[in-house]
Amino acid sequence: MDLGKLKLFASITGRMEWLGDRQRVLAQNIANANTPDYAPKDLVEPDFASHLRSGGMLRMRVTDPSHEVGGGGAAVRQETVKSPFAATISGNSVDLESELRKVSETGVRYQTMVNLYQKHIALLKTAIGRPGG
Amino acid sequence: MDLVKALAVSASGMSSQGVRLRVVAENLANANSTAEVPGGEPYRRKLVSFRTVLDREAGVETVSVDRVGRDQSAFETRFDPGHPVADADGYVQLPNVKPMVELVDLREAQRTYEANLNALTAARTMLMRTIDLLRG
Repeated sequence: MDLGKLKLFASITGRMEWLGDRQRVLAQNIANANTPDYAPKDLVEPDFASHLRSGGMLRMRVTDPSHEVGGGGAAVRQETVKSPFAATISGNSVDLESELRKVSETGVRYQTMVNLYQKHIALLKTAIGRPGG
Repeated sequence: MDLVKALAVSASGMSSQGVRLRVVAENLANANSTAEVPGGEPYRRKLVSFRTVLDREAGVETVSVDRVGRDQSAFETRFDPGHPVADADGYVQLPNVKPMVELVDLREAQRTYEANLNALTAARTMLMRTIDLLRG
């Protein structure tokens, strides 16, 4: 059975990929904390409402082979964030504290996703008659 | 995989801060190094600057040491006619190293190093959790 075909597992995996991607971006910010003229970056948070509006879930029906498939843009978008904290003389605006806060927040969210994944695997195992694993 | 890339980025940050710490140590060690010959230049303070490097293979922005420059500020002079490298008027030129400035720089490098280490630990924990899924 391909777990990826189950919507739930697909969304959990997608979320984990997003969090891993964000962790990389945050690591870049921290590594460049003393690079002149470096502005910190972050990923755009996936938002359910805008996801709907952009047609990520609700696709247009294709009733003819000549129809274009609409919707479904890029999954993640990287943007430069304006730091509310004053930039240093060198033009660098990385704020280590807020970056580290984001790092631990990302870690906690990732852990949540891993736990959810495990729970649902256990659920599937119960369904096939092997409770607990 | 992005988490592995995050590890590489943090490692590049740590090694860059390591170079910075080395230069600070050189400056502090040479805080009293005068010229070798009378009238010559004493030790000139070194400065590190960083730059972002795009690692095309991995698609990440790592950091590396741009160059190690020299501080162009004026030297301190001290009247000491008995000094072996004193000039004709009896003045000795001393390095433009200010220990307090170096210590502040040292502390900043240490703080950034720790931040990188924290990011690396966080990415590593996330990786380990993923691997733990296999044991489930």
